[in-house]
Amino acid sequence: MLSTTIRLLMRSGTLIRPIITTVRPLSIKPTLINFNEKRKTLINEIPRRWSHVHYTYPMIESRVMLLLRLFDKIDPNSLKLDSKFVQDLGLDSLDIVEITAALEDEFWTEIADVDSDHFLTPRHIIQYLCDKYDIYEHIEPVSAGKEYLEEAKAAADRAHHH
Amino acid sequence: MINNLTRFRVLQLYKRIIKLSHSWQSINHPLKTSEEQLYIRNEARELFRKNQHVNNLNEIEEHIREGEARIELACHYKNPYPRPVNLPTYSLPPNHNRIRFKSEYEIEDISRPIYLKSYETKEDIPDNEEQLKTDKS
Repeated sequence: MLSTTIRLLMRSGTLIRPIITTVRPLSIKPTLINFNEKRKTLINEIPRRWSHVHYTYPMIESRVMLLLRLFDKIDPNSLKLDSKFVQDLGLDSLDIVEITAALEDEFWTEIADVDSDHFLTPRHIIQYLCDKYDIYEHIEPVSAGKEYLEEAKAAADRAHHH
Repeated sequence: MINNLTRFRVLQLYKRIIKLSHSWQSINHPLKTSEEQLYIRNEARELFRKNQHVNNLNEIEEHIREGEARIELACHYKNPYPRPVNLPTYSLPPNHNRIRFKSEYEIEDISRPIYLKSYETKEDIPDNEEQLKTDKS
């Protein structure tokens, strides 16, 4: 799993932050006050960042794959977009819960347990996050015009043959 | 058998512990924060996997209670390590020279607190250490 140093590196590496309009929700008791003099913040008063962030598909994909590669139970060489967690990578349902917790920390959202049951490959995770952040530039649009043209062409071919 | 609700509760408990390990700050030993965070995460991993074959619903409920008790104690006493307990009265420590009676095992099982349910008592001196001593002498 991610050690604190690697997590710090990751935090500095992700230069962009999403729009946070609500305080980050907690699923556990708020723990202790940080005694570090430089950041006198309670856990549930994390400062909000108002920078407007542009989420794109390559950004989400690279972040998710980096997070999975840093997980210590996954072999980074055998990790692909479509490699299944349980069958190919040999993970447990407990490991998927750990990955979901790390994803929640990385993307500053809550991921319900109902949704994390459907995470079978990294591609599912990326698709879920794209749906959450409304990213669809990577999807090819299916236009009604194209299909109509194909059907018209097929009908014309049939008419020529007859 | 294991129904979906129990499975959901177990995974929810595991997620709570993992989230706790991310945001844990150590009050008594500020320099050992990362050490205690790693301890919480590794203990959760070990104990959950050790008990994953348990099938009896009541046992699973007891283990869920154990997990929640550990979380409550860690948050209250600011200390993630479990508190060891003394042996119960009328029982002696496990020793390789003596055969333990069945009642002693039963008394020990009954009197152990809920937050030590997954831990086993260690024997006094293991056998291979005894053999090393005899080999040297």
